[in-house]
Amino acid sequence: MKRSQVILLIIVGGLSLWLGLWLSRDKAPAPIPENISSTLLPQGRLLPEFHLVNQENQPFSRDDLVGKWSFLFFGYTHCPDVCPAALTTMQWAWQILGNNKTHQNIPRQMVFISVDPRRDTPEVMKSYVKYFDPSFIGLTGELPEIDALTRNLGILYAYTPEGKDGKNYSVSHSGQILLIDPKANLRAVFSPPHEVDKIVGNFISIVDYVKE
Amino acid sequence: MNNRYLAIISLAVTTLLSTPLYAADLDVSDAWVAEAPPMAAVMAGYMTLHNKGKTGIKIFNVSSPEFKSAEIHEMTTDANGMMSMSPIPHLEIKAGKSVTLAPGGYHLMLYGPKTRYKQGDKIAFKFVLSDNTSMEVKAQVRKKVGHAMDHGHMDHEHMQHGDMPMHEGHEQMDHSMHNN
Repeated sequence: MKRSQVILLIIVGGLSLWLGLWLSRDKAPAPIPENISSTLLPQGRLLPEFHLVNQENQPFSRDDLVGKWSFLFFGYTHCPDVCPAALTTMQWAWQILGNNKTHQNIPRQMVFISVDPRRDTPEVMKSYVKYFDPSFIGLTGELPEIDALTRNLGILYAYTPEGKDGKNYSVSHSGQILLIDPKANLRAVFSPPHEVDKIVGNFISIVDYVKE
Repeated sequence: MNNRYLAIISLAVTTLLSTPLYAADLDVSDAWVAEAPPMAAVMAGYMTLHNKGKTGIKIFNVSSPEFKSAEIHEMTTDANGMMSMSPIPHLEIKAGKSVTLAPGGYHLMLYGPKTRYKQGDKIAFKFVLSDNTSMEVKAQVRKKVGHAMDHGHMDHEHMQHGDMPMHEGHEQMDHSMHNN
């Protein structure tokens, strides 16, 4: 092989490599920033359709997640320990974000979804979520609709046997807080124990990462 | 002579038996009940128990005039991350050891509050111990605290501290929640 042919081969090879990389530049996700410690879905995953009601007994569906970032937590109001702790963390995250100079204007909402609709009527949900923040959303509804969401999102729950009066049952459930992006894609999963600094820090990094 | 000794000994033994020994050995600190949203049907109580005696102490029964019923619950997380509360028949505090009831771990499960309790309210509990004596524990209602509010690396300068009682009850959360 002549020397000029070798050089040509190197040039052609180099050009193809560059062309290949250039063409695929949109497909490969940017590397995940190191400071994100939650489970991140680089491409996101669209939530299924669902039809629930909010604390005002108004319909709430997947469309209501579009246009803003949503933090979702699944639980029940007869939960004295895990749920108030998670909602308090969300309350603090909400307030810290509200005072954050760079990210306070990012549209966002905090959503508590009941896995115990038998006891959690919209009225009960209203007084419950309002205690944490007047802006918080509390969803309840038919079990099949709730299940459509929990199954898709990997949230598990189970009822314990009922007590003597049939009311004191409790609900075992997953403790993750889920982050949904403004296109209704699941974007990140925060596992318990929940730390407000971690949630706020990760949220800011994820918003910046998705924007890029 | 012998009779006098016997009388003294029997008096001493009687005094000893009538003293609530276990209650005297059990130190309760930082007892609090988490303030709950209005209409909450269940509340949770927390505290640190220290057994300074030489015998293990069990708490068999908890009651309070402020609630319909009370139980000691343990929070467990299974391999799938599902968190469950279940009543335990008794809570044992081994000799010389401490047990902390804190969010995410052990707690008093308090069913049916008689009224809406708010931050600052005092709630009395009666514990029945394994020597069949009982002791009274007073707890204060506090707002729930979140987890691990260390102020190291976030911009908290505009946080409204008045709205967030992060100091009270903060410490025991740091200890217990990591274990669960």
